[in-house]
Amino acid sequence: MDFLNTNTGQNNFNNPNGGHTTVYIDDRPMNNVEGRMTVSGSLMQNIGDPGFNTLDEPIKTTIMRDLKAVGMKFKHVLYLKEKNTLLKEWDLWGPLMLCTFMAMVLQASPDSVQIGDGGPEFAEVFVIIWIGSVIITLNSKLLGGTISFFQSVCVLGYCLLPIVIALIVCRFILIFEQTNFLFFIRFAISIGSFLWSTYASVVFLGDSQPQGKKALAVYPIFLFYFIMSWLVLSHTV
Amino acid sequence: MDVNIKSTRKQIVGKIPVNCTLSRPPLLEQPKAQQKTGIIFKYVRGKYNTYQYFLLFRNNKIILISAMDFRTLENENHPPLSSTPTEVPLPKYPIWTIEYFQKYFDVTSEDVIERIKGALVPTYGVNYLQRYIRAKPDVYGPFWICLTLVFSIAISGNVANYIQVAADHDYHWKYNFHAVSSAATAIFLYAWLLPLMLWAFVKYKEPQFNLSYLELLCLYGYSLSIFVPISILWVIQINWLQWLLVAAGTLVSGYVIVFSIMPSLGQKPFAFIFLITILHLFMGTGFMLYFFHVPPIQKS
Repeated sequence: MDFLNTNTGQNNFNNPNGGHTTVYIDDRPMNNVEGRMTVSGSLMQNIGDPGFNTLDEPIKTTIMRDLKAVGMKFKHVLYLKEKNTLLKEWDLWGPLMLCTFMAMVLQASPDSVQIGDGGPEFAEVFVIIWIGSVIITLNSKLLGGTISFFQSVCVLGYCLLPIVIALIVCRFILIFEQTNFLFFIRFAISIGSFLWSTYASVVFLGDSQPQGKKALAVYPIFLFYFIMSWLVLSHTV
Repeated sequence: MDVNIKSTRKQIVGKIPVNCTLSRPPLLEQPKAQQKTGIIFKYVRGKYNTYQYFLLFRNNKIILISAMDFRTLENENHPPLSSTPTEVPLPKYPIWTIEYFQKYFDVTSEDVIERIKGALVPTYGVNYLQRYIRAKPDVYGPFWICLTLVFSIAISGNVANYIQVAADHDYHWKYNFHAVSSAATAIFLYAWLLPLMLWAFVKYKEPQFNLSYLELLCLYGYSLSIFVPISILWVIQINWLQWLLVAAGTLVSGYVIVFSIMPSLGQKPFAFIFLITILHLFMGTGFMLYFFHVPPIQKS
């Protein structure tokens, strides 16, 4: 009994009907990933040094460091080689940029309100993205996943990148006179970006789910990116 | 019992000193339904040759040891004093923690697929609620089925609208994002609020009504799953086919709901059943007329 801190003595040990002890073991997986509140600093070699502080550095350096960190994460979403940067040092700058960009492009143009353009408002896109990722994260926590809240929100936000790229390409295609062929190209691009986003976020988040529940955690992610690429495809003005 | 022993072993070995082996796989078949019991398995510690019994719950989270119930023995000849798993209450969590709500999401992928299959293809004479839900109602299914239905109705409603408009070349088609919010309101009211009102009403009229709100919610949520494929098929703009699909959808989901609730309704169930059926028909036709059967849009 050396590894368990039970409060029953040796006397009860041989008495079958005697002391009844229940012990809770903290059995969280050992490789539990955890988030940190640092500002993505490990890209700078010397940020961990004892004498290092960011107070007397130029603002440009600070901003560039954050931007570089965001850029690195974008790269990881597209390459899918290394998982830890995105998981360990979460930030919400990248998701904020992507989400604001999508909301700005997708919003219904005000002059077309009269003839009934039915696109979403800026706030609606914004809310769908944030509430959507919060609901997906809550869902995975409720299913017993081991990932921390903001890590998951961060990953879901960064994995919007392929869909944002698809949105830019579709926006470009929309400049030309629309034909069935161009619609087919936009359709293919939307589907491709949807699959890419889903695959990327499953790669990042898939390991955090308990056995037999992975599909339950992946389905909401699938639905979320499906809706986002539907918005991209439906955007025609 | 579908717990992966390998992962269990890994978890335990991570916490306990060396020379440990897991002597046997789970030795008792557990009824799937009972949440309060887990697998019992023996854990031999090599150095002192003692062993303990562990209780492992299905969600792989809590491992309870009731070492004191069993005598530690030198050899295996003596059977353990009790080989049935002890009923151990799950730890209580306060309502504001995630862990409190985890019990409503304690289903595996297979459970959910089985429940959806049961609702899509009901078997004659099988009480859906008793067979699939009663053991452990979950909230996962109703929530995500409703959300899927919201978007499948909104998206295919838009496609249907596009097809109607596309025949008319003068009109520039615009998609209607706001179908999402109206679909969401309708569906969540129907699947979440209606069971609550129904439960309260029946409970008031028939005090011996023994179903919980959670069970009714789960029943209504899963019974809506048939409308997901139907809403995609509603895109096809053939009038009689659309009405046929309405009939098929309301019949299947209505059958699942009515025959699950009927045994609990007491001596005179017909008034309640009439009410449930009317509301159900209203829902099915409402979806179709509002989202798919739009009259041709005026040229602007």
